[in-house]
Amino acid sequence: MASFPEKKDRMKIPRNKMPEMNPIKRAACFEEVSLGYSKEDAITEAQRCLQCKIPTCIDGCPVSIKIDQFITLLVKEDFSGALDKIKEDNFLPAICGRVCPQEKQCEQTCVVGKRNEPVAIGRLERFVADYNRDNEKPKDVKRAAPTGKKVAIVGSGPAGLACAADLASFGHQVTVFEALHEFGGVLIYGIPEFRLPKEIVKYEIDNLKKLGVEFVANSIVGKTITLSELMEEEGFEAIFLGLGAGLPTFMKIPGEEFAGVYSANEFLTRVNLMKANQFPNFDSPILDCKDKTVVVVGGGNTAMDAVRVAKRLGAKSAKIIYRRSLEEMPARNEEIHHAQEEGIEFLNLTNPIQYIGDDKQVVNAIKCHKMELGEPDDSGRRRPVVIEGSEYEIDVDVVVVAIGNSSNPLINKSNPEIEVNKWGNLVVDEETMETSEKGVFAGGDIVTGGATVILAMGAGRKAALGIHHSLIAKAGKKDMKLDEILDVVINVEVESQKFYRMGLDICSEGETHKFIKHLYEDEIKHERMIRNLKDSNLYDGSQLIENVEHLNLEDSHKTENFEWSNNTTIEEALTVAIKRENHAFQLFTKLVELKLPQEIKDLFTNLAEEERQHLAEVEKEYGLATGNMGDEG
Amino acid sequence: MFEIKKSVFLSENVKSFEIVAPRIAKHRKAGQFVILRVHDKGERIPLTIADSNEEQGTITLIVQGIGKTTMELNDLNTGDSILDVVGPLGQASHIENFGTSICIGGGVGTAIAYPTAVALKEAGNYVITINGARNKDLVILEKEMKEFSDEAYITTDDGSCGHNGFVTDILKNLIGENRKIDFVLAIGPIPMMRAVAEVTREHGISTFVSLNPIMIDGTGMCGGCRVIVDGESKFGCVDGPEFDAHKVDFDNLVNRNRTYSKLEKESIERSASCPKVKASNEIDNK
Ligand SMILES: Cc1cc2nc3c(=O)[nH]c(=O)nc-3n(C[C@H](O)[C@H](O)[C@H](O)COP(=O)(O)OP(=O)(O)OC[C@H]3O[C@@H](n4cnc5c(N)ncnc54)[C@H](O)[C@@H]3O)c2cc1C
Ligand SMILES: Cc1cc2nc3c(=O)[nH]c(=O)nc-3n(C[C@H](O)[C@H](O)[C@H](O)COP(=O)(O)OP(=O)(O)OC[C@H]3O[C@@H](n4cnc5c(N)ncnc54)[C@H](O)[C@@H]3O)c2cc1C
Ligand code: SF4
Ligand code: FES
Repeated sequence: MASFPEKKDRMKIPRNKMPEMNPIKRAACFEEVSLGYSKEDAITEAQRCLQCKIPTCIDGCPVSIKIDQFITLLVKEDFSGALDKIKEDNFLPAICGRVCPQEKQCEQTCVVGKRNEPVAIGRLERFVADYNRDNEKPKDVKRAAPTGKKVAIVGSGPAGLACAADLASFGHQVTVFEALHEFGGVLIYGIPEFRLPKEIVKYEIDNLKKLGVEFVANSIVGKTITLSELMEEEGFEAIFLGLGAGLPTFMKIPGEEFAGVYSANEFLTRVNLMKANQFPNFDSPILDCKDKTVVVVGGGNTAMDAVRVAKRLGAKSAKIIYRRSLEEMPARNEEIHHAQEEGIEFLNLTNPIQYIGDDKQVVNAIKCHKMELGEPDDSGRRRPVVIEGSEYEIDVDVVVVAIGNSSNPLINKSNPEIEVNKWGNLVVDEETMETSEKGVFAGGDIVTGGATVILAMGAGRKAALGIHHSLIAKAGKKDMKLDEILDVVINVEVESQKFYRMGLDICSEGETHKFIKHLYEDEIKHERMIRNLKDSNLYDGSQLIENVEHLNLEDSHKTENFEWSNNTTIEEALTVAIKRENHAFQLFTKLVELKLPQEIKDLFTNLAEEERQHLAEVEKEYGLATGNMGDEG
Repeated sequence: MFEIKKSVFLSENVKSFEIVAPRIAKHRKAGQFVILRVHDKGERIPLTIADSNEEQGTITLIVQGIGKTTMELNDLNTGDSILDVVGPLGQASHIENFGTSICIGGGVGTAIAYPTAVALKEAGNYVITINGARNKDLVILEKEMKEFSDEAYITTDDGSCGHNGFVTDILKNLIGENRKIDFVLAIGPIPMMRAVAEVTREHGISTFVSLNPIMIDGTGMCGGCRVIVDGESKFGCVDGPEFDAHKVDFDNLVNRNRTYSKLEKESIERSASCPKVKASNEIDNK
């Protein structure tokens, strides 16, 4: 079994290269470009991790995967344990490992990256998921006892799938409705096979089916079936809208309606969903790109996907036109790099202003402006400005417009009562993800506008919790994740620390100072004890603890707001201290009664006792200070 | 899978299907359509919902076999199934009591115009229908149109049935009679719709046409169905399919619809449903 080398040696290991298919070979087929690490690659790459005390990589991850911990398990060759650890936070690691913009997330904040190349966290994530999929039997997901409650998920993109997975594991009966004939959203119709094999998406969906999730294709909610029918006639108690941002944007320049001008969505859908690259074995056609010039307008992942598809359809020249420079391109670095290797031409600082067509309105040229970068705009990127008199034409056979998507107004038309913002995105409560309509939740691109797979997935899971809480609240019951309970008690400790800390600043010496200091230090100790347990591998933090409704945990931090000042009397301060300590004592005493893992129960029993002592001490001080010795005195 | 409950040829090349699709049957309104895929290698194609029966949970589609998918569809029979059917899509026809309305159908367009014509009648209009076809054998829904129309006309290009000539001849006559015509709906081949639009434009008669751009998803996701109306880009599947005929850029529609003509030809020539292929298979079997 492997282990971590000495720190100084770790820094000497170079970042492991991703094995890739040869650029010439791959540009002629749709097979996956990045082949994935071998076990050996993965272990040496994992050994580069410094196991930082404060793992800053986690701050870069939108769903806070416990990166340092899964890497430790990987080094120990406990691949199954590593997968479990990742899955606590990320439901789709095989997919996110492939498509997340790691260089802007975890790998950007990885400490190794300050001096060397960062640990290849994304590739490790992918390895862990792939290794388990190829070598291990799928694990039975723990499923809570059936609650008998029905939830409808609308849209089967990453947001909908993640939401469905969590709700099913909480014991609810979940049905996913999808407008298209296949499930997966952009993962199926948008991102091409050579970047994300569809088999992986199907594998995840099959796992959900095994969990009991029902999938219904060809159903447009708002058209085929309405929200109110789902609720009132079909017995769904909550609905999640994961509709995505599927409406293609055009530039509204002359000639955009000529034949031969595609939106990226259409171009990619024809190939990915309808398999037009296999025409005539599949019936849907796509314009013949063989030996043609295809120009794609845009610089995001969608543009890279489209231009690389064009290359694979045999284009003699496949070009990107982008109005800023390579540096500002929003696409993942790896995709830009792969595109360059495959011979994609980049016409940066170029902006189309008109399409030119023949007498049959078939596009044959693009009129463009050259651009230069001016002052930074709102997004912080330098604004492209037209260079006057720089107009020129590029000959083309096919154009693909990939300048972004916005939210589809279908649901706004069928359900105008649901609140939207000025971009047409659904407005939700940030905590629960509930829309302005009771029982209707939403997440993913339909809320944020076009974003990322990981954000959509995270939003789906957050909504699952919101839905779950609302369903049990309806039933008068409430469950909470173990980690959430720990966060509540950590917060209680932190608030107490703040309170005593202020006291220390004001009484800077003497017996009172010593007394407060002792309490302050104890609270810090408590916080550390809880945190250590929370970060340990001893138990699954995502497990649900049932029936916590009587504890009012959400309000726990709301114990007494108190401002110390130079005029604060000792009685005033002690009254608050008594309240705080009493609250903490009561809280831990009640928590011990819950069904908790043994280590946590033990800790809480300890803490209840310590807080009881604190309470006695502050009560005694109060007695001394006021001359009221209470019953004991 | 969507079961075909009943199927019958209306003319040599046009077949009517009753398909079990209860959710669609419940929600559809005149003017809306479905998108279907016959099998897992098939194309997604739009077809208008000609009729529906909510109680039985069925919708009626009337299909003219003109290419691979429509011919394959027309090879299916009662008891067979269609893999995917999604809908109802598009905006419903705008129905109100305009006064006197003329509904013109050319070829299979008659099937598409039929539900809207019935709805106009139900809304209190005096409905005149003009049903055009190339010859007598291709006239469809003759009886159905006659049944509810206040006046029903048939035209054929060769005079084998009804008026010898085009639907616009009848339309011009009606206008020439100085009758007050309040609304015209024209659905059929693009040249026919364009010709109707030109006739009514001079007389300022409000006219709508149902456009047939190439579609994939039918939900506004691909933008392949873009049409130009009043100088602006619209999505045929969500903003349409019916638009103000006097504002439609027909040239653009014709040109865009030609995008795949070469490939479509290739596709049908390889298909077992193609009449030529069928004929040669028969010879081989003998
Ligand atoms: C070409 C392309 C490449 C991309 N590359 C990357 C990448 O490399 N990395 C990355 O992180 N992100 C990438 N993204 C963005 C990412 O895919 C999206 O942010 C993500 O898929 C959003 O997930 P979602 O679940 O919100 O919606 P979607 O994935 O859009 O799924 C929504 C689903 O809902 C369905 N639907 C919509 N309305 C209805 C309705 N009324 N009834 C029933 N079903 C409905 C749709 O058909 C669709 O299947 C890319 C996007 C595109 C288009
Ligand atoms: C809103 C709408 C409603 C329609 N309703 C009916 C109807 O009720 N009955 C009927 O017979 N026909 C209807 N059509 C036309 C029908 O969709 C086409 O005849 C069919 O798609 C042809 O497919 P094919 O494979 O048989 O022929 P192909 O040989 O592939 O194509 C022949 C022609 O059909 C059109 N076409 C091809 N593929 C598509 C597609 N995916 N979407 C739209 N048009 C396409 C093109 O103009 C093409 O040139 C409707 C079209 C639209 C847009
Ligand atoms: S920041 Fe980098 S080195 Fe530190 S724990 Fe995370 S992955 Fe390892
Ligand atoms: S058919 Fe795709 S947007 Fe209309």
